[in-house]
Amino acid sequence: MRAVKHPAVRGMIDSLSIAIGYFPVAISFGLAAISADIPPWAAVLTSVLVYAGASQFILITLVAGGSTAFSVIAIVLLMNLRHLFYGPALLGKLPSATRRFPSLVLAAGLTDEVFATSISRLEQQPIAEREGWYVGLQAGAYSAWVGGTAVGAFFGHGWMQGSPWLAQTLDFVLPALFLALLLELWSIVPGYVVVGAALATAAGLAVLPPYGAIIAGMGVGAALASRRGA
Amino acid sequence: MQTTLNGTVLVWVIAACGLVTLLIRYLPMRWREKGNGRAAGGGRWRYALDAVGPSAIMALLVTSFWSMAAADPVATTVVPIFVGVSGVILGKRLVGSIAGATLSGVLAYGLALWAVTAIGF
Repeated sequence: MRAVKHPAVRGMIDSLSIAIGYFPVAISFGLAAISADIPPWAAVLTSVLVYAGASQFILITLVAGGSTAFSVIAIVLLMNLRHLFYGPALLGKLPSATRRFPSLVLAAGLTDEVFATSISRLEQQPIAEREGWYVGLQAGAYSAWVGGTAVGAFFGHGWMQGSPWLAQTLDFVLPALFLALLLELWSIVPGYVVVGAALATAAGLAVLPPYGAIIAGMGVGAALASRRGA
Repeated sequence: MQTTLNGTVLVWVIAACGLVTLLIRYLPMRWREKGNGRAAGGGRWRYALDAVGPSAIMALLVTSFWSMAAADPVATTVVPIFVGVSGVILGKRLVGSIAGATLSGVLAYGLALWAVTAIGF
């Protein structure tokens, strides 16, 4: 079998691990949207334009609950604040001499899972091919998310209602993906950084909403790691 | 539930949410491209950025397990999560790929969930 040469195609193949996680969750999002009386086209539009898993679920919940437009936008902004840190970390692994795409393109698909997979895999790619690989990875993940939403919104009604076991099993897809990615990244930083991030997140969950706890965990992990360079 | 925003407003709200999400991802990249990140903190900044990825994944993992455990009684949650985590670790060791590890974990979790439900917790 011939090895895949084009970096974007390799990126799309590597996006399979994300797509496996995204597709069922996106179907759930499409189903949740139509359950909340959001039209199927609006569910798909949300995935096309917002493309940020957890905040999309919050968005439809708030819209369905009668929240004002301003409060919906403000809460989505707050929930996605953690993405502030992803771009600079990603650019550190993409040498500027080999860059061809504008950073707007690189930023558009920078979700939690795309970021995590990129950080763990980019250094395994030849330097000149990293950007192409990353764009392929983004494209594959985005297709799975938008495609899954369309399937859930237009065709999925009744699937999961007929099988609670399937619905509950699919709840484990994203945690399993996060754990697999963590195992891949385990050697990059000292153990105390990851343990500190876990403890800070757990403590944060007691007093903060989940997105706040995630930011707290990231902040503590980064702060602990920065002490090495002091 | 009844959606209160009409179609046109809904489109604008979705578009605005998309725009703020894009800007959150894009503006720090522009900031970094102008050299601000490296100039500001040197080695400390680099170590901190290297740690953002693993810390974010750990935070997402803890949050996922937290919400799963909060949604169902402990007995029906802890055993399947433990078996699922073992499935991911075993899958990573045996298959090596992230997709293989994810799938083996989900399969193990699903089977454990079915067994726990069948026993009648």
